[in-house]
Amino acid sequence: MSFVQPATIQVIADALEQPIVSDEAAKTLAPHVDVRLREIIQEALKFMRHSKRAVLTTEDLNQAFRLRNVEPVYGAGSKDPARFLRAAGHSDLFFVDDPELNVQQLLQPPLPRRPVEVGMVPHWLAVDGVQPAIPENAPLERPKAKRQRLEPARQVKQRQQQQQQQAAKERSAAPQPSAEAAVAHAASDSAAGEGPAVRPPVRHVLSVELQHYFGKVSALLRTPEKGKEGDEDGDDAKGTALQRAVLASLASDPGLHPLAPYFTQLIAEEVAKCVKQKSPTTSLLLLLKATRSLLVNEHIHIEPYLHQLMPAILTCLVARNLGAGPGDDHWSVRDAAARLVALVCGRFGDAYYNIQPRISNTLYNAFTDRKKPLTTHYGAVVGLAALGHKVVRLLLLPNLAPYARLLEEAMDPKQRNEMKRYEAACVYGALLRAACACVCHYITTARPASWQQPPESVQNEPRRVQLQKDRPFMAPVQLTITPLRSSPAAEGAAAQAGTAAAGGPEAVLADAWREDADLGKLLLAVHEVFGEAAVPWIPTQFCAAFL
Amino acid sequence: MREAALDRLVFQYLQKRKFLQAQRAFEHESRMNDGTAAAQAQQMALEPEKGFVEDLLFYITADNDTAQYVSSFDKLAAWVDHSLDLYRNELSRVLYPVFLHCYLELVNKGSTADAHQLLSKYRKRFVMAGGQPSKVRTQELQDLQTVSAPEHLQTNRTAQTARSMRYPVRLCAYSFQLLTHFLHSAKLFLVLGMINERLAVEVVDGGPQGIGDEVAGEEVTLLTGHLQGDAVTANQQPLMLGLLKGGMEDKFAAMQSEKETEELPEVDAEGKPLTKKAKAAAARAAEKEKAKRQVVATERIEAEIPLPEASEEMEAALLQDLENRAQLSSEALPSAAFFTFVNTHQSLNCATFSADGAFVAGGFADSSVRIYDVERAASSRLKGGGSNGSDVTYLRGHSAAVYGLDYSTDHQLLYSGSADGTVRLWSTEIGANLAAYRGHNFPVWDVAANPHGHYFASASGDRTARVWCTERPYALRILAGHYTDVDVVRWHPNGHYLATGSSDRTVRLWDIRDGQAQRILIGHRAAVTSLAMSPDGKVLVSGDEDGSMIAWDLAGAKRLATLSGHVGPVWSMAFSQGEGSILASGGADETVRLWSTSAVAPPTAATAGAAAKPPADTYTSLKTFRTKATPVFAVKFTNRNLLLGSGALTLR
Repeated sequence: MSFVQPATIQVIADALEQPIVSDEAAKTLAPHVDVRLREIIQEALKFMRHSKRAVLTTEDLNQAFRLRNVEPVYGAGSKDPARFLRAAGHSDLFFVDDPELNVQQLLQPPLPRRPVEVGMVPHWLAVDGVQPAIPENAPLERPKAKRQRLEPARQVKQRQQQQQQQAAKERSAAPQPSAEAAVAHAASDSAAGEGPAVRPPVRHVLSVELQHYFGKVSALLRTPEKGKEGDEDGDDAKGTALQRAVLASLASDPGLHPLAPYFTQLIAEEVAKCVKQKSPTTSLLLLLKATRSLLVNEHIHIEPYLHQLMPAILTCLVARNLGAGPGDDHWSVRDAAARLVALVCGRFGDAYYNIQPRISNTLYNAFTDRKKPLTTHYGAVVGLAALGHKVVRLLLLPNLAPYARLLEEAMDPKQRNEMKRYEAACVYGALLRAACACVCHYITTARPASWQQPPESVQNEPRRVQLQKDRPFMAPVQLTITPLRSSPAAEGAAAQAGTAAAGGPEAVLADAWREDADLGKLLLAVHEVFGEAAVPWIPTQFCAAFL
Repeated sequence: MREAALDRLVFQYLQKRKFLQAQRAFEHESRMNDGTAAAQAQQMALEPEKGFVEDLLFYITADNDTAQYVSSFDKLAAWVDHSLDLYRNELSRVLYPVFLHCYLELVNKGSTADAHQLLSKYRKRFVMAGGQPSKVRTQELQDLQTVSAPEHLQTNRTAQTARSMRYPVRLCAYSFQLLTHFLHSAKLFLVLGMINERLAVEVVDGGPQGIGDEVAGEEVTLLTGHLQGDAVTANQQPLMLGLLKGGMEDKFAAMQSEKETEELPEVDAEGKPLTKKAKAAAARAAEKEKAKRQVVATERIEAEIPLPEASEEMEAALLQDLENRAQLSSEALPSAAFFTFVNTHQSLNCATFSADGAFVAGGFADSSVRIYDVERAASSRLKGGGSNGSDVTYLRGHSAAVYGLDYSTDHQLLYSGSADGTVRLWSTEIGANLAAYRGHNFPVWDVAANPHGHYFASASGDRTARVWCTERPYALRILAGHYTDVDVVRWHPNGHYLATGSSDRTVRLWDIRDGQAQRILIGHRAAVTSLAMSPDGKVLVSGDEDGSMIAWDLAGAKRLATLSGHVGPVWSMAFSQGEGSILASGGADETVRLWSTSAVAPPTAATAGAAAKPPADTYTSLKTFRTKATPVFAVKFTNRNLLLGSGALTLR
């Protein structure tokens, strides 16, 4: 019954190099040892309790030893629990992991860092009985946020009902006004009486602190256009420091959720204003940064307001004109917006499965619409590129060849419109980047698949098969080589693949969306479309294909 | 037959006392007398007849027969299990004490194996007796399990208590009759004797009690059951719980009322002149107020121990605090400031605050006491840098971990108690040690300064609390009585009484004039970890390791309410200043909880008459503030009713 078995006593006696005690003695000793152990542990627990801890440490045991006038155990004064290892081959024998260390090895490395001094952080736990949402406090419970999430639905319902009422009123404007109106009224009333929709919307109470905060931040987000007039370097530096602080606060402060609707509205309005007034791109960039901060703040439930934010972001992405003038660097704004779009899709794609299809649809329409200006096309390209390689493969690659021709026309040195030429070059660059990155990505990741199904072309060339086995990493490269050399076997393989091989790069690209598309050919087609410009984008091990 | 029986007795007696030669001689002679007497005697011992001889015989034989204990108890348990449903609950109450004694007897007779077998067989049953695991019983059985040799019986506290106390059992008349009948008919004289000798069976009239009553009522535990008698006598002694005369709060209230009477309103809120009727009503209200104050004033007492005069600066400061005091109620909750200790690596043991909340002191495992200046800490944090060391004062002097800290009321002095057995007095002004008080031989777990100065109290692992005067190196009173470590000590607001909480699960209130225990409050099911006194001195709240808190009415020694909510130990509690309408508690579950205590509102004539029976809605939980991974070590209200809390950030 006691935890200390006579066998344990024997083992301990052995370890202490005491004369081996008799079985009888061990049997007698065991319960006594058990009692002493329990006593010591009971004492140690007292020390643990008065240190207000829940874990017993070796230090507690040493204190208990000292209290009992027993020599403490030296060298085990760690605050961490001791690690016990199971002895190999024994089911119930454990030992403490205590490796021997070489003094030389101990002395050689530089001294460890000084432990950090104990500090005391004062903060408010509650103000008049309400817990402020500050980083020092535990995050508040989420039910509030959930309710907020429901609110838009309720508003939608309300709006619908208002529309119904409106419709009812319009109907009641017809011949028999009095009776019908009464009926309609009653109907709407009864409808109103049913659901929670009729309840007056909950008044949104904002604390004074939050109002102040919002005032300051919105002033900062609005200022840049004014600041431009009297720009001083000192002010600028101060401004950027402040901006950085505000953005950091927006990204991490736990108490900002109540402000989310205001911020989203502010951003939407400001973006519209900036685009309309052709204000400099710095203000747009700042707004995008603020949006990003709101999106990454895990304490803000931004989902209900995404519908307000997305148009603003997409505007920054595909608007015809952004920034103060042609000289303004609106490309970086579009790049930033593209990254934001990707962030939104990545973060909320799980909850709103249709968000990415909708965005890519919008962008695709913008891209394929030839009437749209090149700036819009640029935005669409970078936006689609940011959404991932799969999107590029599905939407961009099939249109690559005709579009590239279009661009080349625009980039023709004979083109007199310098601006248009420049823009076309930019779009060309973005397209190149997206296409090459996409194809290279697929080649590098899809390697095992193509390795598993050895193409017929290599069957009659044992040497190459050998090579492939030795260096599987080179496999796709060799695949790409086949059409270049136009060996008859490869021709046959290509013919088997169907019509793709026949129609040159355009046809290959048009079929790029297919899962079984030949990646090697795809790379070649891309290379053909872009020419030498594509080479720097292609990883070196695949460059061999073009040599 | 009679002779044969006598012979048998003698034979058994000789056998038992191991008078071998006499036995042989007796055997020999009786054989000469009647060839079969001895054999008959042995045989008849196995199939005893009716009558006292059998009983006698039984006692003689059973003493050596340890298996008898096991089998008797098994029989009893089986009988209880098959008894009538209606009485089974009552009868099963007998089982536990009988079991304890069987177990201890077995150990005493040296057959530990049997004892442990019995324990392992019935452990689960007793632990789960109330429908859910009983912590107390688990603990008791665990304690008993360590008892494995007769000599341990003397040292093990639980065993000692179990053997010395008469375990109270309530049975209805019929249950008792059933039990005795069974014991007689089944010849379980061993158990019968045990029940007669070791149990205090109380036979009550009426029907049997259900199991619900047992769970709801006080579960008899070995230790507290043992104390019950003492507690009853102690708890009947009169107390003088009134506050001291001439307190600053009374003065302030008087000043306020004078002001009010001077500015007896001539116009009402709308600016219209008051009618005669309204004026009369106002005057009547004022009268009533005055009468109420007078009632309060009569409850004030004269100090019976020498106390220092309060200095004028202190009074002025307190007056200012009183003017700025936030009036708290369940509608107006306090603001709370929290002081989180970071990078402590589990070395912070305790914390306390100066009365104005300007300083936070922490007692550390590295034997140091550190005082943090809140203002400087806050400003250095605002500047962005960490602590540069200017906001902390180190007080070094102890030679072991510091477990208790308390500021004097004027926060000029700081008391610290340590595991080295000393209490040290520090001057916060010069940051130096003024005195060391030696007397405890074991760790000092807690210290508390008298609210009126001069005195302080310490609680220690040597099972005593001591009352000291700052001017003397020896203790003025040694308050002995707790059965285990005294863990926490708090003063009554009038400075004449001292409350102590202990690991023996009781709270005691001591009169420091004669050093006697005036109240023994039994009811906790785990070690008491924190205490708080209401500002009017009528209510004591104690928190325990299981997270339950009990509010006691001191005058009647009654439990007013049980406050449950905390998970894990309650480390600290505090009443709000003034009316004491809010109770704050902080615990290991990383929360600060606020409780309403409307029962301790200032006493009116009505409540004084209606005893201390609180309305049903008192002592309700008002609010829970969660900290960020920080167990709350200490909570306190400042004089202006700002709630302060502190703890060490503990990341798992």
